Amino acid sequence: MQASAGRPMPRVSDRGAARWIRLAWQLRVPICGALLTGVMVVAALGAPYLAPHDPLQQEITARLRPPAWMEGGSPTHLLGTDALGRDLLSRIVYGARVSLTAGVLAVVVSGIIGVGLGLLGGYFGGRADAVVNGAVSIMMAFPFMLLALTAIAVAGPSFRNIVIVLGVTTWPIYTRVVRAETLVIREREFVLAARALGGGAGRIMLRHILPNLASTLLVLGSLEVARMIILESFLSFLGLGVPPPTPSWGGMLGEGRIHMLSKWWIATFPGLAIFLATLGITFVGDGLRDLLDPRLKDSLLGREAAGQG
Amino acid sequence: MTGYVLQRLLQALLVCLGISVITFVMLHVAGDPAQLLVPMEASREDVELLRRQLGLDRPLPVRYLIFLGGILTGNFGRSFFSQDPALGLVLDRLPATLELALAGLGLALVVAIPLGSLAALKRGTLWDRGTTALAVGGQAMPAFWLGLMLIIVFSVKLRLLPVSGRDSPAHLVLPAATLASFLLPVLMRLTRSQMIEILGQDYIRTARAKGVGMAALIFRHALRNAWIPIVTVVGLQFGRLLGGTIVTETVFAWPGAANLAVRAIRNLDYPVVQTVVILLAFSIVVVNLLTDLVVARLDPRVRLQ
Amino acid sequence: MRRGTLNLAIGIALALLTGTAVAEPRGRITVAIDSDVQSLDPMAVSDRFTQAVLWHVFDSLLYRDPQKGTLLPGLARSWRAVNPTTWELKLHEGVRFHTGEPASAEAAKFSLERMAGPKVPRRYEVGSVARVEVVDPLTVRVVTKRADPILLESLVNVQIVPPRYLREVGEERFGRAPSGTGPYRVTEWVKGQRLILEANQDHWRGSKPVPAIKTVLLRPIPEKATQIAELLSGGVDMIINVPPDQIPVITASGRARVTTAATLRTSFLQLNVSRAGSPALQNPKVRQAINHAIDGDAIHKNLMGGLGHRTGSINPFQFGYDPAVRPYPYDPARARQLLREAGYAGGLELRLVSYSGTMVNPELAAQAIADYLTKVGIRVKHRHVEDLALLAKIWLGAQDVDLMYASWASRGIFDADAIMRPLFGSGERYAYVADPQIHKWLDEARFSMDAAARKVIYSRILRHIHDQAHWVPLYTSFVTYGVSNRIHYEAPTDENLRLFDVTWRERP
Repeated sequence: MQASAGRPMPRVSDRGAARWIRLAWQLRVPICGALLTGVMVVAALGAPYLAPHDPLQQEITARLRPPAWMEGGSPTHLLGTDALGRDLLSRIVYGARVSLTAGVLAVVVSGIIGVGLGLLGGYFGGRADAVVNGAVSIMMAFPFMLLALTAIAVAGPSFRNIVIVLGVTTWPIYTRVVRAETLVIREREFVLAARALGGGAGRIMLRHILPNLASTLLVLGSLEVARMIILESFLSFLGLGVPPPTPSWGGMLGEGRIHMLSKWWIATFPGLAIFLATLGITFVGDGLRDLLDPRLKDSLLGREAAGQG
Repeated sequence: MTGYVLQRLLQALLVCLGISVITFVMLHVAGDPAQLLVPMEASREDVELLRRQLGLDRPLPVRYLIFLGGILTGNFGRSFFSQDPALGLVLDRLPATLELALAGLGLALVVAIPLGSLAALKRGTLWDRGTTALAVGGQAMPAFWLGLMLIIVFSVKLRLLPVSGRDSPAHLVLPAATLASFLLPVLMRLTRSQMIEILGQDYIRTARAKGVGMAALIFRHALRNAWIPIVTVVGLQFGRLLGGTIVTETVFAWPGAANLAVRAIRNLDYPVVQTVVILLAFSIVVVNLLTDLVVARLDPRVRLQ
Repeated sequence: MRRGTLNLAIGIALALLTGTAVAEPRGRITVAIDSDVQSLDPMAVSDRFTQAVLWHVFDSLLYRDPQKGTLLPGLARSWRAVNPTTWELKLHEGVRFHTGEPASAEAAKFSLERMAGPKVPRRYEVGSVARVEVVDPLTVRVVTKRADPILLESLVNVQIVPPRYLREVGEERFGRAPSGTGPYRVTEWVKGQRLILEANQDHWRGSKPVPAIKTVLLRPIPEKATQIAELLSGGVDMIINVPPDQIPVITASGRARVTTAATLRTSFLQLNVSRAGSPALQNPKVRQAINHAIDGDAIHKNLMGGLGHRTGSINPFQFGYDPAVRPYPYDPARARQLLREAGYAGGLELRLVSYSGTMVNPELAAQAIADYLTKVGIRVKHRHVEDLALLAKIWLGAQDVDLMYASWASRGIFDADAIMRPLFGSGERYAYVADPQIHKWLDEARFSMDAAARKVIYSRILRHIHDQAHWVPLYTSFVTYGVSNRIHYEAPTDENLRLFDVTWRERP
């Protein structure tokens, strides 16, 4: 039922080039996603080589220049310049670093917290489980954005604080998934056997239970990266993100907002970057899900239901 | 049922307590309100005096109990800036936020359920792919960006709808549309998958075989069964909806509690911030509780879990 | 007898009304404001915008001509100096507050004394006043501690409140539902949402004209982009402080116009020389290097749209301004050389603070300044604050700051003292430079009634500050109003909104 609800799995009986073309066509969405994501990763890693200009270099006599193809634009600044005459393309390329690293690191932080708590609750059950469940309920009741905004306003906006705040406020998703799965897995034969052989709880959780959750977590984590990128951009948009002059997409969108009616490109290109990056990562996540764990479809709806962002 | 209700009530109460602890720790341990409250020319003694007056010199647990007592008696302190009682300020703004949240939710449901159902019925067609693409695209679209676009197109270029404020029903349209974009993708996908599942079930096939019309089939049979999960998800999404009001109220200058909160956060006006956080969190708890109870009443299996 | 005079006054007013074809106030406009007013009690407010709004509800003893900046009669119809420390002011007859109470000498005395209260944020306006005497119901004398050449300018900022009504309703209620003598009265105030002013039909006809607009709705809209969209879509009729980059957008829309005027506000970079700033700043060569490093002309032209005036000292509008004191020329090579001579060939690091306030594009300008300094080898740690409490802490405490990008509006006073004293005076809270020579000269100029002598002293001070490079003067500010085509409004030369000067261009 689930498989039919999604894209049909590639048939293995085909042969030769035709088979590969067919496969590629069937996987066109995840492939597009992988390409988009790849472009972003390359931009983030190779920013110093790819960016045509220093993203911080100002030239206030050449400010608010339109993109190259518009009247008054020049090939020196392909996407034009911002209010301080900084090259927009270079800032977007460097902005990929902030968005991508913030997204990935926040997911790592929240994943470690969430998975850890989920394993503990699911494996030990009883009181530990009750505590974990309570913590999840409390976190889920907070208006997430408000919590994050307040925490950052109190702690001061910086890259480190953003990663911490995003991580610390978004972990319940992992806990819910991991706890539910652990409850099931801990009763399976191989776990019972390991326990009978005198394996410690920590060892069993890490060696036997966690590997069984790997594909689920990979899918969930990749989709969460996309969500974190949007959240980070919104914090920056409100002026509570990575402080300037460091280029970040959300911050650029916020700065360009005032020019929306005339110099539309200043806010449009960073907005587009956020959109494409999020889309690419979501496609990859969806593709991974279909490949690794089609069963996840329903629980992912649960994930979306749990999302607070 | 009574046992379940009691259990859920107790749970909700504990959650509220937890919320108050976290809010307290975040605002009272991380920042020093006395430093912010004193006039610029105040001496060190003035600051100490104020700390005593505010009870900031007492041990943390005692301060927490005082804070909790304040919440229970409706005393949330006064705004650092306007000196008005914080609770009054927030309560004045809450109706606007709830109005926006309900409008956004309503709009999302009205669009998502028909689109999702249609996608399920015409599974695999261009129509299905189109709505799925819309859902995926909608999820990747930053809502603040969407809000700005709506303003440019519908207010500035077409002059059809007002930009900001809350004077007439027309003022609600663009903010509600922006807010709905937070829920629309999720609800659309959910409706689609639920409908697919239900349409595949025997009694629907039987009904179809008996020649029951498609419309009747959907409205009388399928939707009736699909709406339990939809209610559950809407309940769970309430927090996300309120989170979305922050974005929406900022872009449209909607005079609601989230707008107030953003300004208070920027000014470090702690009493107002904590009042908004706690009231919104409590309302999320209440909504979740109510959905659980409604679902439990509809679906006996839940109670036995 | 009194009644006769009143009738006569009404007769004249009516004649004026019919003669100049001033019609009844009519229609309604909406004005977007950045943030709500603080309070409606003039003695409880400190921010300049709230004060400007209160001009509509209250009157002061004196009024300033919005275009020329000269003093005009307010509630006082005439004034004279009895001796160097005593001013005598004669009040208009028959003026009443909205609640019916007469605006008498007693009310003036009450207001001036209330203004001096220990909790009043702007008590400095009457800081030089020793006592206020009521001579008769329409005559009041203000006695100052020493001769005060700018007392009358300060009195423009002191609004007269009704003593009886205030005592009746109490301070808190007065702050929400005030009564004044102004051309508008407050009919509704929902904090953070709207403030509604209604034309005062019984307004006495003083220097403020009869309003043409019957109802004014002031609506807080925090985002400038939203304000502009509102103006262009017809949702509001006026927005205040249009960023220069957006002026062409509004002009090109065909739906609204922009009116602009240079103001008294002056922008500059303060150098923390004497209050725990970087030790490097104690070296005049470093300060001169900073002056040479920043291209003030380019910032003024590009980020300020060339509006306002470039200045090498204070505002050209102010008494005491000396055009001979020019800005340091932009010369990065010279700046680098000066830094080398001062022993900072390896560069140095300075902390720059800027804030969102009444300035134009403050964050952009500060970022540009940081960039210019970086180019000559000064590493800049720039921090932009939005939060007022934090700003006050940094600015007044001179904490963690070497360079402060700030501006000063001189409280609307067209005299050098109003900017030189707060920034360079002895014991002043905003002063980052303590130079005994300047302190001495400032005092000489402050208490002299000889205008020519004062001018000479101020020239000397400005030249001294320039040579010492005690600050980086940049440019003077300007106001811009985006105005819908329904109404007519000319930007005044101060920052004070004057909605009673708005007239209809078309029938509402």
